[in-house]
Amino acid sequence: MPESPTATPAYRLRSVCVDYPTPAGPVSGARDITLDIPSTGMTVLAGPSGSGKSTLLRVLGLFERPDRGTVELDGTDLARLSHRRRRALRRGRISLVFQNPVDNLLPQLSVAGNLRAAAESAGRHRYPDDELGDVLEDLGLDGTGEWSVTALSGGQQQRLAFGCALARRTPVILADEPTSQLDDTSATRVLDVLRRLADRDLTVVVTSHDGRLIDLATRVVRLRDGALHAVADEAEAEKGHDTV
Amino acid sequence: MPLAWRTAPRAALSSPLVVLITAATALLTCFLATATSLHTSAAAGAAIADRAGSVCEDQYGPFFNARSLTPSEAALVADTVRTRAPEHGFGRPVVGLYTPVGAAEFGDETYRFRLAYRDGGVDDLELLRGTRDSGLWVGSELADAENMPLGTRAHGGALPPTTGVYRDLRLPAPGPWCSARDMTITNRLVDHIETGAIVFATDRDAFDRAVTHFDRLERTVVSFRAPPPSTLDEAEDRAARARALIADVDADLRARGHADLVHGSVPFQRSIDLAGRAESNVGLSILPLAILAVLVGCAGAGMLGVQWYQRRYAVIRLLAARGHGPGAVGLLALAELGLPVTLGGAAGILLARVLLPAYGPPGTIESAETWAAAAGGGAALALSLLLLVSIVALRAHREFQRGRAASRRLRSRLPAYVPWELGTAAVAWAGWLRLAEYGGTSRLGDPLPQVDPLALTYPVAVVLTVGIVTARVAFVLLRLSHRARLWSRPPLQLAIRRLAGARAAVVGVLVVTMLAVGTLAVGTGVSEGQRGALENKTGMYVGAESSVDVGRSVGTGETPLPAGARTGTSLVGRFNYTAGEPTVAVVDPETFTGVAWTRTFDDARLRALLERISAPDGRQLPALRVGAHPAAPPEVAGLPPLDVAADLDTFPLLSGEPGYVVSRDALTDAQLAEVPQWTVLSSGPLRDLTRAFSDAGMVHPNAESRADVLDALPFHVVDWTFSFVTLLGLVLAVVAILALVVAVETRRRQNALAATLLVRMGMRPATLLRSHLAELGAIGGLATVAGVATGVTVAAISVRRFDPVRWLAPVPELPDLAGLIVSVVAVSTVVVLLTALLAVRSARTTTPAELLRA
Repeated sequence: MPESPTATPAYRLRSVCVDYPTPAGPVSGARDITLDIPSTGMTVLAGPSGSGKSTLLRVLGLFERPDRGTVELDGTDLARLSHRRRRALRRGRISLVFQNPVDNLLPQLSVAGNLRAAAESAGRHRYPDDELGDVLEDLGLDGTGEWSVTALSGGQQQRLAFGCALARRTPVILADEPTSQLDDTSATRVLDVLRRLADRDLTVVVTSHDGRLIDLATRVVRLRDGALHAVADEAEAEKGHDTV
Repeated sequence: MPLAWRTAPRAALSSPLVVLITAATALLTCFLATATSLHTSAAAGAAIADRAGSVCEDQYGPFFNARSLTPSEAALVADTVRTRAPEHGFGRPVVGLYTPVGAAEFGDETYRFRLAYRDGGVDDLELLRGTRDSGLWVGSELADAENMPLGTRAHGGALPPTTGVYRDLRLPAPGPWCSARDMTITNRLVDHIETGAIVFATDRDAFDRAVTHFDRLERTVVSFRAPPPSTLDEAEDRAARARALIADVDADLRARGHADLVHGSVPFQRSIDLAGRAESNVGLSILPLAILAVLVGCAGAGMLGVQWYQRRYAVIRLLAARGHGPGAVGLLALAELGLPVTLGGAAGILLARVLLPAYGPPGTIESAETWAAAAGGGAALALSLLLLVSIVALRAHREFQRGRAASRRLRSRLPAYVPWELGTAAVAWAGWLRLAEYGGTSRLGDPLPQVDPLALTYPVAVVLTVGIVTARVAFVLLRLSHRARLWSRPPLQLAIRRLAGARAAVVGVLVVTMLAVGTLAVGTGVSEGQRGALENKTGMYVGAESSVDVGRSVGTGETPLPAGARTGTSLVGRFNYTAGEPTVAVVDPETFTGVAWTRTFDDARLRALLERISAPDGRQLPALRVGAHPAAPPEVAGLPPLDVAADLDTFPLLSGEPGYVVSRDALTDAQLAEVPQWTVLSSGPLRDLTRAFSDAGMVHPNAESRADVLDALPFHVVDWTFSFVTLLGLVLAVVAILALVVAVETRRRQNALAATLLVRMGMRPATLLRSHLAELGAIGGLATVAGVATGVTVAAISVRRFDPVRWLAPVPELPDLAGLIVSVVAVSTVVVLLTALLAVRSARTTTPAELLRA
């Protein structure tokens, strides 16, 4: 069972604003967002296109610095960190899974090679074969270790992407609409993987407007026009209560 | 090394075309960087080789010359030089001793003769009769004329016996006798064989026995036989050692109380100075454009970095998300493209050395210079790799570390707002002004005009200025192109939109292509113009390939030409009584056109003109008037008044000097007998011509050859400079083609998406192809037209200004560039066609996955 959302948050966001410069003037990608993301369970950032989901995920993935407000990860103020410290955090604490399955893998490597490269990138230079086999089995990819990643289907690639996140053993996994480019069957298998991840002691943050994925969430954060619209925890979500 | 980096070279193989283009870009960049240095060094070597003929064979090192020494003083000088020479790296000196002309009786007759000796000198004479035994060798003219038997001992037996008869030396002096020609060759115009014979002593002992007859020697020469230096460094080294030897010999002789006994010199020093100037002129002239071209090549490497970043964006983002920094991402680019870049660069360096004989001046270069040039190529290679890594790292930093950046667009566009064309125009203007002075002060004695390297950059600066202005205009037009509404012609509208959408790349390709075509045209035009000018000026000056003056009896036909000079020759007579008066030349219409230098004439017209002046009307003598500023017809004693039948700017033998040409056929024998000066023109080499006259024992002064009548170095300097400009044009052309292919390949996905949509909307594939043809044709066509127009115009204007010998006609003319223009148009057409097909093909072969991602 996941921990209660009231436990120490992994991310603490306070009045976060992100502006994008455009020829017509700055456009807000995120407006005054104050939010805690629990250190366990799955938080889904939901909302229509342009609502600020991906901007928020970029902020959480340390790809973007907010123009205003503060973001803390495990109590560390990210704004004060140097590029080097931010890279170190990305390397050791965060794994990102992108929307397009193939974008999460190194095309010149095999399936096993990708897992090893992912583990290596987090400082795990020795990645035991039995652990690799377990991960593949967990993902339903057993027997594909020596395959080229291009031989995998989109769903398999996306599951392997989460496998890479597992291989990195980071406490935070961020995923950007991981099922949006998959058919139903593939999406279902990815959801299974996500469900298992959510059951572990990990911070999983996913952007999506996939109803099935929202159903798996322990906390749903709804965004609209770059602003926080509603936050619902698992219990409240089941009752249909949202809080802002 | 992490797995992703270790396996990166394998990832490069996923796109062989990119690998190929990457290697080719590095190859061209390193080729240019290496070739610039090699070309300059080869120019120095070629200049040294060219100047080797300007001094005698024994004058490449130290040369000691003394007059009026006693035989003992001469021996002292020779010994001192012989002692000191090894310390300075010189071998055994060659001592030449020549007495004044003195009198002695051989048998019953008294003859005037000069006694001559040189170490090993008899080996350079042709022995006709007798032996090499110790004694004296008498010239064949004297021996034959006087029936002098071998064994004759002159001066009542006081002199050694004559043991041989040698063939008399004749002008032009054979190489070994060049520096002593005034001592060893009798001037037949002054000295009769009986009053100026040269008698050689076969060895020093014989000379010492014979020289007791003389108090003093007229000349003493101590020199060194060595092959000419092949490089400037070698020549400079030899000259430095020669100066040191001369100083030591002077000091030794002064210490013995014989100061100023001998004059030491380095005759080749002036040639070394000229070669050095030629090297710096060529080097400094090609340097700006070479730097620009290398920078274009490096920018190409940078563009490859940008293209790699776009292609590998997903991988870069993944690695950045996993905490890898910009430097690591840059190194990933290096790991993937480093090998093709390095191999391409190494091939470029190697190719530059191997192909040097094909593109560079015909000079030798030393291995140190080759290594220095290779180091230049290596520096360009390192710069390319650094740029590749830096650009990728910078982009990764900007995107994944810094996030969004304000005013990025302004900064990236800043270079576009700098008025570069004003700078290049200023350079062009300054070059033009300096060019006005060029060649105006050259003389036969000081043939290399003071050329400012800036002047030589003028044509290229003009091409560059026009290129930048064209780019600016094209950029503005493309920005305004959204106003164009040509939907009734879909291919055109599509082409315009595509061009406007990629206007930065379009302008880049346009500038490089225009520069390529422009530099090709201007390089070829000026370079070939110089070669033509050298040929025509020397041909006009000599009148044919070679010429010698002959006596009046030969000219009139009273004495027949020697057997060896009866074919391929033509006799030309000249009336030229006083300086400033126009010369009247008498030509033989039958032989003249086949022998004389008539390349600048229309053969049929010249024949017709000569035919016209061969038929006098009895009262007047028809003549061709020659010269840009013709003089009034002179009154020539014995000839009827001249009647001008036609005007010509130049004429062989007269060049552009004012003069008149009459036909031999129009003159009577009596009139021919009045012609004071006769010249035999020959279409063969001078050596054959003089040998024919020498063999026949006929006097033939003023021997001249087209090959050495003018110092060719000033022509070569300009030729070599613009040959390199042509080479740069070729390289830039290849760069332009590659850039076009890269631009098409980079937009593969956009093209494919647009094409798929358009075809679904009902556009026919043929229309799509036409749109690509219009797009790429516009770039190729504009660049070709602008480049050819600029290049040809600039070459036409400047080719005359680059005339280093303006006092001698004809002026250089722009060569026929039709072949070049046709080639450029044909290559442009083929490239446009192929790249258009490539664009259409990429659209047709795109996989659905690629389209989905797009």
